[in-house]
Amino acid sequence: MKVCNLRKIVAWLLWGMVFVATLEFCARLDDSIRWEAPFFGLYSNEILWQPTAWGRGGRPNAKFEKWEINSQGFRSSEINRHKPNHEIRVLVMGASETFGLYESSGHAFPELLDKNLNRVFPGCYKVINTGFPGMSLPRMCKLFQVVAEPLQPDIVVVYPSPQFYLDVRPPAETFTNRNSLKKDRGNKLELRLKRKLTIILKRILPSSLQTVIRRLALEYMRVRLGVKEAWERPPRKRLEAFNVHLVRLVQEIRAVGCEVILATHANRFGTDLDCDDDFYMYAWIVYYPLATPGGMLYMEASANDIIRDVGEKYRIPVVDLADVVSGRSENFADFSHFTDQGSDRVAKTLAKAVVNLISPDHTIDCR
Amino acid sequence: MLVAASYFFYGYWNWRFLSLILLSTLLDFICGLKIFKAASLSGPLGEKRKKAWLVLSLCGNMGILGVFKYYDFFIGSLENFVSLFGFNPILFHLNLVLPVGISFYTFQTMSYSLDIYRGDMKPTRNFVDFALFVSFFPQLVAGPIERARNILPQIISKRQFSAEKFKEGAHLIFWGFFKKIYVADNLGIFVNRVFDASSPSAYEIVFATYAFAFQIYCDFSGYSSIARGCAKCLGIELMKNFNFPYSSTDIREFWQRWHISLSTWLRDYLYIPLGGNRRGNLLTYRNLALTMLLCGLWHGANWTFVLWGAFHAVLLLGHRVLHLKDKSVDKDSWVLYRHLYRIAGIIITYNLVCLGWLIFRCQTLSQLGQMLSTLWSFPVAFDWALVEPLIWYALPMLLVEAVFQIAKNDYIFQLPYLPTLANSVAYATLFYLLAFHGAEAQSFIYFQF
Repeated sequence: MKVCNLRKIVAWLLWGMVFVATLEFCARLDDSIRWEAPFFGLYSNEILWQPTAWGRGGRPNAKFEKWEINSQGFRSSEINRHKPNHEIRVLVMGASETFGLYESSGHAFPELLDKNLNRVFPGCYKVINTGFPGMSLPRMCKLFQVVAEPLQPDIVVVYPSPQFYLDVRPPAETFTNRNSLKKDRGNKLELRLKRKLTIILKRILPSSLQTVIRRLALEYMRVRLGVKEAWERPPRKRLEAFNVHLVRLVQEIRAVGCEVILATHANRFGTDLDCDDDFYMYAWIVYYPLATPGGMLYMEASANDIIRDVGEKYRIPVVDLADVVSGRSENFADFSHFTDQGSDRVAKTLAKAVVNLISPDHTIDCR
Repeated sequence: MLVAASYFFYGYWNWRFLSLILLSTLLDFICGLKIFKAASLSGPLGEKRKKAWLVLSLCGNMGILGVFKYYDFFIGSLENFVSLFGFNPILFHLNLVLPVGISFYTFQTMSYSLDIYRGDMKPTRNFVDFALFVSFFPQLVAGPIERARNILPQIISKRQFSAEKFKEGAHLIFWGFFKKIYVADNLGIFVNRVFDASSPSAYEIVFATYAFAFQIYCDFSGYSSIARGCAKCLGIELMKNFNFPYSSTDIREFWQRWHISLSTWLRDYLYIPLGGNRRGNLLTYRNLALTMLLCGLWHGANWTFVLWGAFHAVLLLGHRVLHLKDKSVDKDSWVLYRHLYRIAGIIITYNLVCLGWLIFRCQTLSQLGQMLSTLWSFPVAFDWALVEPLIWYALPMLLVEAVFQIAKNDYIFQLPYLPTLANSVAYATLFYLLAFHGAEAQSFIYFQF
């Protein structure tokens, strides 16, 4: 009897192992067909990054699913080393919203900005997307110091993400390159199925259940961090740090003779939270356990005020994206990352500001 | 418990329509008992009463169906017809929401009264059992249209649960979901794009119609599989509604394999009572045509559905007139010849059925006319991308169904002579396609009927 049971268990185990192995095989074959991914070896978003002077930067010529990095390490089309005389170069700096997460291929807002500008002035503008996930203002500053000379930008569009200042460890004034990348895992065996299953799970689990799980995770993190009361209003220090870092970046850019355009940060929620917003708000705030949802929105609003003040003080054009796209769910795929539609609106709004700042000489045919 | 679950299931969509299903249930429960009681009376009085109760049951059910499904359609058609003569009457429209599954459960309850009337079964005296037969949730909204003589004995007797049955049920549910989400919903994207376009090309129409043939098959048979699987897990066996219909070699065989519960219902309660094929050729043709026209109308209150029914009536009549069955190849013929004959039969039948699906899928007769006229202007550049949806979505399903046919069993994915582990590979592959390439869920097409 016992032998019989053992046999059954072994047979089921074997069946399960073959099942999982087949799923993994299918996942790899699928990646190979759809994305031309290598069948063996590591294939995750980690292959897009490498350590750079400004922290986690793009690995030249890397490709993961719809994301492609050019030979200079940016999510942009190839950039000519020798800048043509007539070309107006626009550098777009920002975090994951700028890099582009949910937009379909070719629809991140810097790419659409490029298309919009060149539709009106063919060949006159070159927009370079230097956005990377997690880019804080000090990192942008460091990046600018490194790329200003080789890329020779004329205009720099800055789209800062204030939420980093709610982090447990907020951005330091000067960026020091700590080990910002996970250790290179080389060709270590990794189940590709894991990532795919997580995506599916997020798609099929009821949103209310996901919110409950996130709330629990948030509570757990707060307990671990010893947070007695989460911030309804972020400390003044944090806002001051944002101000100082922004001013420093602006000064750094202007010091090399570039024009600056600042953009306020947009999010799905606008100024108030509805009960329907819980799902996305907790998906966001789970990364920032020190703040409450109200504190998060307060930070956004205060940071946008700072951006407007800096713009006024330094006579820099400010594009109020918070006013144009915030609070409209069709513009956002999650809490702050754009959909194709949102990206299109952002690009069109920015294009006007760019053309107002520097427009090409009408007598020159840029092509 | 199951009745409560079934009523909750139906009421979850719209609790107001629970009264309708309850009315239909009560009506046939009482009529069934009365018909049986009247049958025990001897002489013409008994016969008269029996008939009267049957008429009440039929009128009640047809009345519900008529009011909710067909009234506005016929009134609208009448208005259009009269307007041809220069009159513009304003007739009263009900504008009612069509209750989900109304065509299925009314036909099911009618079959109960008809079976008792014909002495094929005895009525149940337990209202709860009967209510469960009418409202059994797996098959309530899109069939199969079950017969009381199949379901009621299973409901009344103590149900047997076993791991084997559960396994088979789980397989059917999984396979149903695969057909619905991976095949039907993905093909639906392509089909909708073509049928919603203002002027699709001839090749687009052809391949979208081919795709629609698989979409509607997988949508409906997927639901039937899920229903059968759920019922099996609960210890109830539902009838098989589809039997590889696109492998039919002629149109008659197609109707023996497609929506079996409806075609047998129409055969048993309409075609045969009308006289079937026993009263000479002309009456047989009339009965066939009438049955198919009503079959078309059952699918929806739209002239395209009536035309679809008429088209199938013509095909069946053609098949009968040409005596194709008699001319089929005999068993002594050369094997290759026999196979070629069979393959040719499958291809011709599939294409004829697809022509029917084109009529079925078009929203209006004018759209149908436009599409048919485009089909005549055939020679445009062929785009291989049109074949891709069929290769990616219909082909895997066909391969699996081929396995079922070889194994003569659709309860488990098991190829003969291959080790059990091979089915682990098969299930994993299908699961992968379903989970990672399944389309966004769409409503079942047959919910609208």
